[in-house]
Formats: sequence, structure tokens, C-alpha cells
Amino acid sequence: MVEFLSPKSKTIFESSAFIHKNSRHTSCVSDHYFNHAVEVFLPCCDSLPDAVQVSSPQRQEYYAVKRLPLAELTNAEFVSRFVKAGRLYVLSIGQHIDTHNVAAILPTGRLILSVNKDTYQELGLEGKPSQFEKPRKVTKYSVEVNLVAESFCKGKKNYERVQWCFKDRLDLTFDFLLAWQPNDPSQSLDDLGSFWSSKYECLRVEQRQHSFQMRNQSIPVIDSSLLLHRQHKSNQDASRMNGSSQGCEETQVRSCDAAEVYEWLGAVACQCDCSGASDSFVNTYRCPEPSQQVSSSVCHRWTGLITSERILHMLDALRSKVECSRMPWAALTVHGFTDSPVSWGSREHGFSKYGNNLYTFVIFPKEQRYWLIMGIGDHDVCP
Amino acid sequence: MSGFQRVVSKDTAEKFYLKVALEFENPDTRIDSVQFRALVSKALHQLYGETGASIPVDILRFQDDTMEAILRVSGRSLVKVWSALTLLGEYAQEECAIRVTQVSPHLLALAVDSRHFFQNLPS
Repeated sequence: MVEFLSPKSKTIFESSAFIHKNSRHTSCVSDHYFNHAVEVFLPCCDSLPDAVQVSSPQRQEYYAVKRLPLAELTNAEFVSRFVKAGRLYVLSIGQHIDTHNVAAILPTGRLILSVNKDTYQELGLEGKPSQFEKPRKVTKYSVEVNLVAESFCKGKKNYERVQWCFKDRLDLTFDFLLAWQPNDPSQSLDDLGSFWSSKYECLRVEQRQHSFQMRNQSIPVIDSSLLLHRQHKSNQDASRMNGSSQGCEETQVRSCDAAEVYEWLGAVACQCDCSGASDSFVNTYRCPEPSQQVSSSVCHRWTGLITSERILHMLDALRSKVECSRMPWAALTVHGFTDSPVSWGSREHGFSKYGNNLYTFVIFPKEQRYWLIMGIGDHDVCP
Repeated sequence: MSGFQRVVSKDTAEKFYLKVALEFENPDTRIDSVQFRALVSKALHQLYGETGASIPVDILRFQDDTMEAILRVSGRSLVKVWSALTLLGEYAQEECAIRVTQVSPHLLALAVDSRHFFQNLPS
């Protein structure tokens, strides 16, 4: 039978401790700007603990503004009132990054445009070809404008040029999502809504919640010191065939592999059936071994536009909860936007066959250890 | 205990997951998960013959009301399953279509879909 090439996948597994001096958990969360959903899975829990509920993104609202011209976002007044006065997250929606134009403003004050060739040529702003395109067949370009640069103010050439390009050359309009974390606590998200409410349709949106509880469920047994031992296992299997090893038995029984746990967490999040028999016609998937039976677990998800500060806050709350409770471990998953032009920091993000950019923390009570699993697509750079 | 460990896996994915939705011409037609598995086998058989029909596919989830399913296939048979499902036009003498909504090597990614989330923003 013919064989077809299957798309590549990139998954990064890390094992570290929160208290380790080089731990990258903070940068992983704070550099991932556009978070679409946050999900926690807590085994041995009947309901979401109060400490986690309080730190959840529930109270963090955001705005959706319809048909907003880009010139409004690069306007000097808007830049000084919002971009420079806090961390502003802006992302266009309803446009697909592989076929359309996409725009975003990062909290660092940079405007990123990912545009197709026609738009790029009409626009007249300098950019560079997308790094995932073939050299002579470039169809996507990315344009970057630093809104907080000194040269970006009224009267300066750079500013006037950008305004002219967005107003007169090409009137680029998008539906935007906006979230804002002001530096000054007396300011609030309302200021952002009232700024345009007379001219454009602004909606204040709450995060959507979804929660479910599972009873008498098998969960994998995990040893935080054994991240990936499958390759290891096959080597040992080979040596056992030669009649030499005994230690492998113990390794196999003690813990599940990070890749198996990751798949299982996905099965729980998608509410899949994890009780398939190995000879079943419909489904042969089951919880990886070794597993343990727990009476109740909770899975809770918030969906919308969630700022990374909020997630960092939540990660801290979850860490202290895991440390002082009888949970064997807990998981926190953050999903990025499929059509965001960046994944982590200013690393370019593309769609290819799937625009995954998500990460999961598996948090252990012992020695504040954690596993960090990052799933990205073919058109992504490893963070 | 080791402080830090990092493993990057960049190969072809071992498993791929597809989120699909089944539609019949007659909107009242409903099938269950066993029939859906048979439909997948039929689609594979139609395009790739006997060897195609033997490709292992797990139906991780099947919702009877919306007829949405999550499938698990090995990375090397992804293209075959995807193409067979796309080209299926009829099941049990009734016209039908399968829409592949999401494909990913990470099952967790299928839990949310940011592309379709904001389509019905309240106004």
C-alpha cells in the first residue's frame, strides 16, 4: 500500500523544580501572551478549592471591539493612554493566520502584522518574509512596529508614515479582542471600553466556564523523577532478552511516562472514554498503567482571552494548594490562540495543519517539582 | 535527584487525533458509536481496500446527539484516514459527509477551538 508522509509534531518535555534557581516556569507563562483557555485538573477533589477559585481568571474580563481600523490602535493618544500605561493584549479574531491577515499588539508594545503578499505590497511598511515559507515562494510577510519607541510620536517621520499607511494606503480593519493590565491601580478596563464606545461597537465579555467532575476514576501513578523512560524501557527490554537485567521491572511498575500522562490528560479534557478493552471494536484506549483509583476528581476550564499575569497568579495558588493537600499531583493546562502571530515572546507562530501552542504543568507536592510539557506545531520555533 | 531535564521530540508524531463531525442528508438520521466505527472502516475500505480497512482507529469519543467524534490513529496512517473520511459520501444508502474540524498530534489541543469560539460573539 502507498505510504504518505505524516506531518511533524514538536513536543517539549521538561522536568524541574519551582525552587530551582534556573527554573523557567515564570518565563514560560509570562512570555506566552495570547492565552485562550486555562484548565485545571485536580485528582482527589470534590470541588474546586477556594484558593484556586479566587485566583482564577473568572473576574478578569476583556473587550471585543468590532470592525476597528488599525489606525485607531496606532494613534498617539491611544498609545500613550493604554500601550505605555500598562500591559495591553490585543489580538484580531475571525481571521485565519494561514490564509488571511492577522494583527496583534504584544504587552511589550510591539504591533505585529502577519499579512499576505498582496496586502504587504500595498501597505508600504517594511517587514520580513515569514520564516516558515520557502525562499522563492513567499506568500506571508510579517511586519513589526514598535509603538513604544521614542521615534513613534506625533511629528516624527516614523509615526506619520505608519499612520498614513494604515489610513490612506490601506484601511485595514479587524475585529479585536483587548485585555489590559494597567500599571496604575486606579485605572481599570472600563477606560478602554469608554475610549471608543461612541464610535465602535465594544462588548465587555466574561470568561466562559466549563466544569465537570469524575467519580471512581483511574488516574496514572507518576514519579516526578522519571520524565521519559520509554526509550530507556525498550533498551532494557532488549537487555532482558539477553537474560541480564532485573531492574527494569521496578521502573515499569513505578511510574507512567510523561508522554502517556500527556495523552491521558488530553483524554480527560476531551471527556473521552478511557475504559476501552484491548480487543474492543470501537476503542482500545485505556488509562496508562500503573494507575490508581480515586473517588472523585475535578476538571475546570475558563475560556476567553486570559492575561499571563492571571495565569502566573493561578499557578502560584495551585502550587501552594498541592503542597498542603493530599493530591498526588495536579495539572494546569494553558491553550494559546490558534491564529496568534506569535507563540512565546516574539517567536513567530504559524498554522500548518494545526496551530497548536499549548503548555501543561504537572505539579508535584514533593520538593516542589514539576513537569512542563509544551506542544507546538510544525510552523513554530521551540521555546 | 537531577535538577533539570529537557527532552525535545521533533519526529513524526506517533499518534494523531482528529475531531470530526458527521452529517447526514436527512437531519433526523442518528447512529451510535459501533455503527460509526463501521462507517470509518467502510470509508477506509472504499479508498484503500482490505489493507486500508485493517488500519487501527480508536473512537475515543462519540456524541450521539451531535454526531461529533474524536478519533485516534497512528501518525503514519493519518493521511489515509483523513482522505478516506473526506471522500466518504454515503452510508447505509443514505448520503452523508464527514467534516474534519481539528487535527492535532496533541489530544489536549482538541479540548478547545479558538477558531470557532468567537464566531458567535454576543452583540
